[in-house]
Amino acid sequence: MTSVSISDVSMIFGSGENVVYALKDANLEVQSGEFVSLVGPSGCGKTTALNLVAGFLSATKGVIRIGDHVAGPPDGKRVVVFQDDAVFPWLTVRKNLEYGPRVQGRAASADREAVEKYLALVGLEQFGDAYPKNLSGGMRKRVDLARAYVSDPEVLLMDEPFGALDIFTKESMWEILTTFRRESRKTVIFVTHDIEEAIMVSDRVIVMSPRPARITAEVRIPFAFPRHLDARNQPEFQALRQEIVRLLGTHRDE
Amino acid sequence: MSRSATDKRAAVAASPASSSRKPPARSGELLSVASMAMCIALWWMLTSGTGIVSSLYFPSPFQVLERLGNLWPTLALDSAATFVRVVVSWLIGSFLGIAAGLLMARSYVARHLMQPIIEALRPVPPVALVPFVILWFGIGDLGKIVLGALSCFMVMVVNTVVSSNNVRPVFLRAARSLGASENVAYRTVILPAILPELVSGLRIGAALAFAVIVAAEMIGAEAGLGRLIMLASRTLDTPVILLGTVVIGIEAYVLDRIVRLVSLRSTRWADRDG
Ligand SMILES: Nc1ncnc2c1ncn2[C@@H]1O[C@H](COP(=O)(O)OP(=O)(O)OP(=O)(O)O)[C@@H](O)[C@H]1O
Ligand SMILES: [Mg+2]
Repeated sequence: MTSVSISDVSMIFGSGENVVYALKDANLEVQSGEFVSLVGPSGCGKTTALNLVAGFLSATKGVIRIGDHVAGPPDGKRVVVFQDDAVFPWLTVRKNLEYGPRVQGRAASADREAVEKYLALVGLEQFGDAYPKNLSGGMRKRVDLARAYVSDPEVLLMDEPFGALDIFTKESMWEILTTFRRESRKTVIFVTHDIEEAIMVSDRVIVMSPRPARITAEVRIPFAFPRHLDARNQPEFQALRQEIVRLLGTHRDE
Repeated sequence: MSRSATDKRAAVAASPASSSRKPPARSGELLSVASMAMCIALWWMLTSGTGIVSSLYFPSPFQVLERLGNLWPTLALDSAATFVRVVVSWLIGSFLGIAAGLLMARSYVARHLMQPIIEALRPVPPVALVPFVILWFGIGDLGKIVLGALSCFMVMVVNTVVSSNNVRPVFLRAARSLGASENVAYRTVILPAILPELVSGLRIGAALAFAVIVAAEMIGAEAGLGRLIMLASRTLDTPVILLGTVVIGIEAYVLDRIVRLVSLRSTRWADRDG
């Protein structure tokens, strides 16, 4: 668990006449253990921001800090969960979960226990030795989440992880995130297009403007965890939802 | 609620019960045996039985058995010569091809150095190189092994590069973010991911090695099934031509089965069912 700080970061793609500012002087502070969601129009630079924190890209300008350290190339301290299915099909479910500790050269009994614990938390105890091709899309996403937590990173980055799932499967993912939050608190940056989802899982929702992204507003979610699916019908929840829609919309009209 | 529903779906897919919709396991084999028996019966009828086809064009089963009786020591030598050449050239060529392919997929310099050479050689059917190979290496083993190895090399290098490039980048990124160094990510992602394609390539390469080596033996060799068939055709010895052809088929089949058996465990994850 560590804080993440993005200060005055710009990211330029292309050169000459084709330069694209994917990010321009972006700033974001995420507290240690905080779950922050980014919502914003398509193409505003959310994925770029996440890739910068993950170390897949290096910023044209500005500094990203993970705790006290300047973020470098990927090192296992920042695990990414993608929208695309990234569960390794050539490994069994259990071997997928063991992958992080294995490549990091850890083989502690704590890691073996974590594998079994998270396998149980996502309800896949019976599928430990199955290959991913025998699992449904939702089950594979649970493997993906469990693999990220078993790896025990300091920061978790999720880029629309549930974007391709149906609403019922999504809801079960929210429950899993809540369970994981109870088991092992992490600093999380979570990108989504689903405002309801953002409110259900986050401590704070950041609303971004169109490209190059600036933070238009941020909304604290005051509801205590665990949050139940019924909470969506509460007037407070609906008011927050409308507030975020409105904040997103201010820029849609410009 | 939704979770248990998906669990059930997957449980069905994972259990062997999913094969229950297929016909019983033995029936396929029975059909295959029946069709083989039909072919042999038809062969016998057309040649010995009715004499519709003269043995000048196609031998009868009895003629083949008779020639097998007195020819088998030579046949065994020729079969061994061909098989050893194929296996040796296939192993060397495939190994070098995979190594070069991995290097090309990994390194910008290697890719740009080797790409033009490979692209220039690729359209040339290996058989067309036989005259040169005989000129340079003579009619012994070496030339044939070089030719077979070159064929397998070309198959595997292209196969390795294409399949490495087709590995979804998200797997590499996931591996890196989970803490794998670039080298470890490469070894734990690209290699296992392309293994099924490598196995297909190895099987194609083995078949191709048989084709070019037998062809080379037909043009010039001290021993080998190609030479045996060529000599027999000069004297219209159709039983021997048939014997040689059948042995090539058997050898190719055996090699193919071995590759499949050896690779079965490591590619099971990609099989459509199983
Ligand atoms: N590798 C690249 N080369 C050139 N332009 C890029 C590259 N990656 C991103 N961009 C541009 O940067 C901008 C931001 O892209 P990014 O993927 O970060 O948006 P996003 O907010 O994640 O969008 P979405 O919600 O659709 O996923 C876009 O205009 C995109 O075209
Ligand atoms: Mg994106």
